[in-house]
Amino acid sequence: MSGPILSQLQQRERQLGPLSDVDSTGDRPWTSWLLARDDDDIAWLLFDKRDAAVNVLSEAALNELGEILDGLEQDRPKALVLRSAKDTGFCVGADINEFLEMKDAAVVTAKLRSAHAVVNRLAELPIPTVAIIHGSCLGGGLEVALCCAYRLALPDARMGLPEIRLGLHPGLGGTARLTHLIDPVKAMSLMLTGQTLDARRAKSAGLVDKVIEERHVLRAIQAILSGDLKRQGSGLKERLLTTSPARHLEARQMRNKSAEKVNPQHYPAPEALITLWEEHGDDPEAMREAEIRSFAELMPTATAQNLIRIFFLREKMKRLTKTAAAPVRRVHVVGAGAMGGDIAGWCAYQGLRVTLFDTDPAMIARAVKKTAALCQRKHRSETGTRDVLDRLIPDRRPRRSGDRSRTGKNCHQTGGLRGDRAAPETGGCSRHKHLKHPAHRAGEHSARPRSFRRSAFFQSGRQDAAG
Amino acid sequence: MTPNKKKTNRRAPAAAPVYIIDGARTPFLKVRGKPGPFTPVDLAVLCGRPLLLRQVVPMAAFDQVILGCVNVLANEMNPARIAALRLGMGETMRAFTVQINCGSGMQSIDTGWRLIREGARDLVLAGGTESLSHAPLQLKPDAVEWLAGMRTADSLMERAQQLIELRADYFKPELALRSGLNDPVVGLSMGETAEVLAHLFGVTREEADQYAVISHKRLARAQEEGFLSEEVVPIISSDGQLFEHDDGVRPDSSIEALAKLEPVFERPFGQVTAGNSSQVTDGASWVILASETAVEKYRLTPKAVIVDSAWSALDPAIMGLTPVLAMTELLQRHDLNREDIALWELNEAFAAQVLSCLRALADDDFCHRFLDLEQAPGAIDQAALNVDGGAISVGHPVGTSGNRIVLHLVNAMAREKAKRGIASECIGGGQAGAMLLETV
Repeated sequence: MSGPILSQLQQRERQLGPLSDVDSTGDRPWTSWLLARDDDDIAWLLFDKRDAAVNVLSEAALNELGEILDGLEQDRPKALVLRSAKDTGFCVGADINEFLEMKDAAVVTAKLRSAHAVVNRLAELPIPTVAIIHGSCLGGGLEVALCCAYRLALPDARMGLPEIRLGLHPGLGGTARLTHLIDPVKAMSLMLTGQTLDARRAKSAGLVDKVIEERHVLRAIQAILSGDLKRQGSGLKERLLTTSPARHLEARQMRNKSAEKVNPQHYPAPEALITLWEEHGDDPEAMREAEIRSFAELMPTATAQNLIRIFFLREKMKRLTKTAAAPVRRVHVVGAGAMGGDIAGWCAYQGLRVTLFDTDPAMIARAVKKTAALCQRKHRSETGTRDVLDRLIPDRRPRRSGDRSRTGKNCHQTGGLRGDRAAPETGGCSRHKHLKHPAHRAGEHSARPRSFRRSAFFQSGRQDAAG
Repeated sequence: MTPNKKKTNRRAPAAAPVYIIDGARTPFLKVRGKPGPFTPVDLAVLCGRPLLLRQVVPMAAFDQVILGCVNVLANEMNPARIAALRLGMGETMRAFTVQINCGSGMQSIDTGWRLIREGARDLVLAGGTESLSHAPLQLKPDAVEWLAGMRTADSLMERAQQLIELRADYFKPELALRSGLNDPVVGLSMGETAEVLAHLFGVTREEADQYAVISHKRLARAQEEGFLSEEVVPIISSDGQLFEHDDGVRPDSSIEALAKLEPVFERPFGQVTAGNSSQVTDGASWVILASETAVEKYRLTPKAVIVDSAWSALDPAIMGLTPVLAMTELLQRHDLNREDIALWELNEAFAAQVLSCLRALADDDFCHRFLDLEQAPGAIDQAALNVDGGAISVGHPVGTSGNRIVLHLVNAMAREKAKRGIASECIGGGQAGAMLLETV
């Protein structure tokens, strides 16, 4: 929860150093960055892509970063703080639009070379460099952050290198930098699965030096400058793991695990990544060089290009769900069977207030139990689980037409009917994720009040797991 | 429309006067790592005895006892009734306990005031008590499960099996006090909510420490000048120890000394330290409330009249800011300006929290957007605020503090010949109470 006073006060909160009062829509030398120095001669570099809600690391953004580094190298500040001005987070990664045009390995190689040259200069800046990470910090975004000497994460940060999901592996030096920053086996597993880590897990993996609250940003920077905040260093175990025999042994295991999931013939990225580390895991520079070649070979493959196409289709789907209609805040679910119970639980999990009706209280009890199990599976904390279950309200009142408490403002009514009771013309949508799909905004165009929507689901023969 | 506006009662209450006749409190005793000599009811009794003794009103004339207490002990359920009986107020004395965290001691006055105003009661003993040193130790949930398993194990085998599962940390209890000071909804400790405010209102560590030093100096002066001689009654423990003064005061407190303390809630980058927070203490306080009828009947000399009270609430993460809402509600309802209030008591839960309230009161944007005020009332003049120190130097027995600040405001108003005063406290969980008093 966050009350109106707190949420408005929090707009004062973000610590942007000398750039706190800068109007980012005004005249500015770079389209993706803002730069200023504070009184202590600390340079604050804000990633702030103009007229966009999220930061993406486009070719243009990287070129601008190069120009900015020219200036910083010539007139060296005492330190560099790098963070995002967006509420959504640090950076969601590379501009995937640019990947669509990269079908020639030679072109890809050339582009990557110049991109590497820029971030290598960031990594080599002879001053303390600090990335302050909130929200999403993915792919190329994390690779840039890995070029900083220190990484401080806010509690809402989520970090990962999900390139493998596009049939690729990190291409901006990330394979080399991550395997040399943290336990290389952990690093490889992160890249092979594309898994993202929350701030707490990123800290325990050694990916960030400290998790801090927004209110402590300035003091944490001071602590870095005064040497009171120590960097996460790699230990003996990590160094042993980079020896050649250890790498061969680990690589074999990785291959086996990976082969359990995917066929290397159809999906070459994991194998390419494993080979990269197996051959160059002890030499970051060589590994970065090899990473460029390997990435350039993966990019034009049918696997990568098709996965990239699917990525865009998925983005398109997400956009379709954005309508001008007021967001749904309350849901009334009729029927607490396998389908209705799961829908109710998933909605409560997503933050909606749900009333769940069934004639049989035992069915509602089962839905509550399943929702608690869902929270546990998703690693919700004890209080997080409590809040989800607080939002899932058993409703045993007999249904009357025109009941305002269940058809009130911004209420979405949905029925999870069991197969035998469902009318065939209601259509079979059995994936709960489809809740976000426009097809389920049934009623939006009907004669019903705009604030109340209704949709019906029925369970077809096949049963899908929720979420 | 501001979020809190619709809950504001714009009507000033009807004018059946309710008087504060007298009051007393125990010295506040710093918790020193182990249970102190007094339970909550012990403190309430030791405080109530001398107070009742010096009244012209017979004890039997009272018709209600209300006591605020947060950490109630298992063997003292409904401490109000136990205190009333132990005070010798008779078996017919009605007594109930109220709990609204740090506002409990003021809630008891508020409830008594309302009962008298509606004609249901004439003489009410309203207090607050807290023995934080007695806050219970609790077993961890895992350990409770284990004990239950042990109890239900029938066979020798089952019992042996259960014994194997015994873990050493089952014997490590949880401090109820610590969990009590943690907000279960927003997951922040009270100290962390002060850190949030300090950041949002730009209060620095130095400013907070400076404020804490002033609090200690003011209490030390008040003790020296005898300002508290009527208010604080000495108490004696069963082993013959005499307690005469608030023992957490540090007259030699200095910025330099406070600057050395480490942050306690958010290490290492926080700024709230033990030095600029309220002290964890044991203590009790009572005030006597009387109706017009009672005043006439027993020829009492009232010290003050309760004009009005206000209670407000907002997000628990910024609970320390809530007094601003409650205090300005009182000002608005009675068409008063900040300057019309000669003395203020604002409970010092945390120095950063008090200073944030002052900043908010002077913040036009904040007051306009959230309090629907044309103009900010302006920060309370420090010369009129907590003139004899506050919870940072006196201590903050949570259930007692709301009572203490009303009691002390009455006494300070009499001494300073002030016409009006407001006492207010922030309440863990995101609430605040404020009470407007006038001298008679």
